[in-house]
Amino acid sequence: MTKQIATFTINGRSRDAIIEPHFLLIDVVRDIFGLTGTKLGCGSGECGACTVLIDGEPVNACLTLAIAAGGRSITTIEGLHDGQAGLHPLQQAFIDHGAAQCGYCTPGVLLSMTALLAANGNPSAADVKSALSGNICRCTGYVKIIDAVLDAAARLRLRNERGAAA
Amino acid sequence: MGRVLQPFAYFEPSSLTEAIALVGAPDTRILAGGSDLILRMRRGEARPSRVVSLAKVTGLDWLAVSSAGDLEIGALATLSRVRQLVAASHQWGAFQDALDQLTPPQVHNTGTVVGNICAAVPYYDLPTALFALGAKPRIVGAEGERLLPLADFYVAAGTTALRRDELVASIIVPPSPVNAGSAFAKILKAARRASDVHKVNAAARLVIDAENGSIGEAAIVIGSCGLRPWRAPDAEALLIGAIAGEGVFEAAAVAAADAVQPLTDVPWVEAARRGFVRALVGDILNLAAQRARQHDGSAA
Repeated sequence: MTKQIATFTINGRSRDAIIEPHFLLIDVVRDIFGLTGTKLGCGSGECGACTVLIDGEPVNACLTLAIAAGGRSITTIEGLHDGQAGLHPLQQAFIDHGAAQCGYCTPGVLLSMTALLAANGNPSAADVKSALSGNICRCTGYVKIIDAVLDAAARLRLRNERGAAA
Repeated sequence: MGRVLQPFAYFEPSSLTEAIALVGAPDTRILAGGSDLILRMRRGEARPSRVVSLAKVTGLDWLAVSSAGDLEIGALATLSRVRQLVAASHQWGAFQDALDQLTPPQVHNTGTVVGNICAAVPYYDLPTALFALGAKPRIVGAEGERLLPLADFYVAAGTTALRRDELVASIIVPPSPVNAGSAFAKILKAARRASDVHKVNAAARLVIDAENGSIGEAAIVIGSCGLRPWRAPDAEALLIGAIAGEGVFEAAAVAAADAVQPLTDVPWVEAARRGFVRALVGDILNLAAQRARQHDGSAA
């Protein structure tokens, strides 16, 4: 079918790709752009391993046509960082709390939690669980993930307070 | 690349007229959020040779409450936007319950209410809730526009009354009077055998006289127990005119359970299904009545 050049804004950079209408976003992100941090799990929108942010909102890249994401702002795990190059506070908190085991679900979890913290800087454990409900982790039992997210939220609040005071 | 979906011709009309002209061709599917269609295409259950995306059609992301109080949800309004508005409106408790229980969260950001309705999947939740609330899809086609109650919209599993050159532009949910209340609930479990009952959902809406507590209007809708959601008129008849209370709700729940048509020839499966319906209907009638008395149809 018809090949076309589509322009994506991915992790803040404008990038072109030759795609066909039936290409899924996850395949374009992984195979054309080489951003393999996004994982394919169930392929049916249940596990959340393929979660990316489109215009700041978590979506399943395995159920999204790439062509439908053209022109919108896509964030993958490779685009998650703190300012220039350092780890995002969520990533640091995941390391500090040992919130990853095999790590396959971690990119998707981090992106879902990034969207949560952007919308709600002071989430309760119930808010975290609700926002996590589309990301399945078969290793950790979620306790350390929830602890890490709450800790990251606290660190971000503290930083914002200091930033406001300065 | 592209190893999962089979190729198709892709159309992105920019107006409703253009879209209607495109959807009539054979072997065409309409794409809104894609959370149902793309999944079906991945599984090979749908193999359209043409896909018409509504993404660029102007006016379909409409979402508003009219001056008459109707909630109109355009075909591109995502579940997350609708959920926000419904939660703030405190009117459509059953709809709010169903949206709150819909997972995963990622689907809220892409999936649409109209897409969920049009998929005509017998075990989806929003059709059951919206049926109880009297919602009507607004169907547009080459021959004009029509409003069809959900009762007439579903023909069978996966099939709607949409003609080939028609599409659903929006769905309209009527306003709720102050003494109305509604609720939705579901039972979900792992199906260990093909015949297992893996899900039952139900929604109810009651209008209760604030003076004497009698029930003026009642709707009970059962989903996942047949090829489309259905009303339980015998159970509703027990409620109309009665004073709202647990006794009459229990009687209605029993009547609704008795109305369930068997889907298998396994007696214990059918007994379990009726048991779930009875429990759910009892619960949602109590909750709907509580909301009607609080003059607040919401789940809050």
